[in-house]
Amino acid sequence: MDGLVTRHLGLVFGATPGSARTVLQDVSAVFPRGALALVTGATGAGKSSLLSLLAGLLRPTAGEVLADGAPVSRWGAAHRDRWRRRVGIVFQSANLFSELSVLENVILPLVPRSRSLAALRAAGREVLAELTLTDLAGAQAAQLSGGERQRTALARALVGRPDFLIADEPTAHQDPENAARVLQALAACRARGAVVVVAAHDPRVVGAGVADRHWQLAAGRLEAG
Amino acid sequence: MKPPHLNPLLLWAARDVIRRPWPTLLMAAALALLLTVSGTALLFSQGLSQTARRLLAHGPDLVVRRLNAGGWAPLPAAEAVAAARRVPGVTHAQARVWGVAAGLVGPLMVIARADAALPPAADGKPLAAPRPGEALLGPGVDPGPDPQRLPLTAAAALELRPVGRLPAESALLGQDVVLVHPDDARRLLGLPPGAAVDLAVDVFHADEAAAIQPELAAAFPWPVRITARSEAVGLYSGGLARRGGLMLIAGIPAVLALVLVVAGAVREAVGQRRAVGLLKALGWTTGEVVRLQVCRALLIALPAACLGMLAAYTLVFRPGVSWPGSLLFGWRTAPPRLFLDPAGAFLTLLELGALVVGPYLAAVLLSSLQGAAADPQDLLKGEGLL
Repeated sequence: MDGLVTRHLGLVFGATPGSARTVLQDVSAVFPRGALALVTGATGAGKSSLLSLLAGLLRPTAGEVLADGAPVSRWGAAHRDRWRRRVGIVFQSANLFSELSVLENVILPLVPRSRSLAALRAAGREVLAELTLTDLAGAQAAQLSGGERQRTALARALVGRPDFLIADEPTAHQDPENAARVLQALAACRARGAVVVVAAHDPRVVGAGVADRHWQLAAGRLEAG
Repeated sequence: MKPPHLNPLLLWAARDVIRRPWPTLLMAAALALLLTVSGTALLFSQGLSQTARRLLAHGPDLVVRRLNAGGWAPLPAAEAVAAARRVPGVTHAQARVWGVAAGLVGPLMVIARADAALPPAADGKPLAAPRPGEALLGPGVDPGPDPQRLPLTAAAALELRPVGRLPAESALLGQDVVLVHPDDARRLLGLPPGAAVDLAVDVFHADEAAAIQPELAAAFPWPVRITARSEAVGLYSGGLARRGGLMLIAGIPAVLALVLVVAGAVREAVGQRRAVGLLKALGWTTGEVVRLQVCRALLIALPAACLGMLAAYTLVFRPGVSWPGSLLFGWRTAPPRLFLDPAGAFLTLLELGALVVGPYLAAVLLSSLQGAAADPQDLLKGEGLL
């Protein structure tokens, strides 16, 4: 099946029985192409861990993640590295390189596979324009506000036109106008046929009605919201 | 014409290097210094042995000295030459007069030279054999305050008039040499008329030199010791090797410094774990991350290596540089010019690469591989990101 699928996914942190903490258990869900899935839940419910599993950053301790039918969670590191080229990730904390400019941060995912830096810059500027960050292209990431950082992180995730977009709190620190722009960018990505999975606390995201499916994560279990 | 595209990864690595100027400069300076130290030692010992081999290749096949109970004894020149020439296979025999005399600045090697077959002088003009009262000076001989007088003292005191300089090519062996007329040499060194210190013998086939030795020894009416050219080269090389060993002791701090450089490279790579984790999370493969780190290391190491090599070359081969000769040989005057053949220089470069740049690059490569092979989420637990 196209899209992302989780089957009986489980995640336990800690190796010894005494210190083990179950974060996710028996999570089975389908995140189809061309749809935006919203995952909500209380702080510490395991939203970020679920997104890390979907993005191939973590290996599950049980179950599996399938991407377009391929069992990516079972693949070795090298295969998962290559698969991750098709994934755009927005972390909860923006995770930008402070010494780089906004544009440099944005084009970073494409640097090793591009033939020309000029083409990369053009692609970066295009996506920055969508998120009204053009004026900040040359600014150091360290000088940005929280909202600008998060939009830069979203631009970085979108620059490679990913097949799978995994975004953790993408509207954090945004004013209503910019939050609407962020949601618009997510919807545009969905419209291209990508799988979009968003974890959010923000009631604006829930209330905006952009989500095609709403999942609720509680006590490590995922339920339709 | 369209400008050629530079690989963005290489450009990125270059920008990365420029972005952190101080760590980059420190690492490059450490590498360049290491290369200068080890390069100077290697190039100097190599230059010495190549120059020595080059000069000894033109020496006699055999050298005969007369022995007596107390050591060496002068030999009667004409009788020794005649005896040697009677031995089948000997093509040329020449009696030599030489010894050490004290000059104003230090000890000098005095050699009698009567024939006219001398190389051109340092200024390119032909040199004539010195007449009585004259002297030809080696490139490093300092006659003292009066350049028109060369006072010498051995068994007797003598004052000679310098009439020319030997060419710089002869400097390693002729550095402190004074060529004089045979009569002057004998008087200075206390030898009776017609006596010589040793006999230089050439044979028809250099390979037969060892086979001829017993017959040659039997041709003289007194006990002799015969030294072949190969022994002389071995003796000289042995001396150089011993000095090279001393230089290696001086190289121990350089090795320790190299260990620190490698440790620094490993520490830097470990410190970038989180950055590596993020790159991997953004879709970089392990190979791409390693390529970036290696490109960065090469951009630091290669210019540093060139700079270090250039400095080492300049310190050893620039005319007028005196410290290596004064440190290793105790030369007190102008140093000789050393020779280096291109193949030797290339090998030295390879040795240096293996010694300094190799461990640094290996440290970067291994620690990058180790870091980049981990799961991104594990690597992301660190500092340095916003």
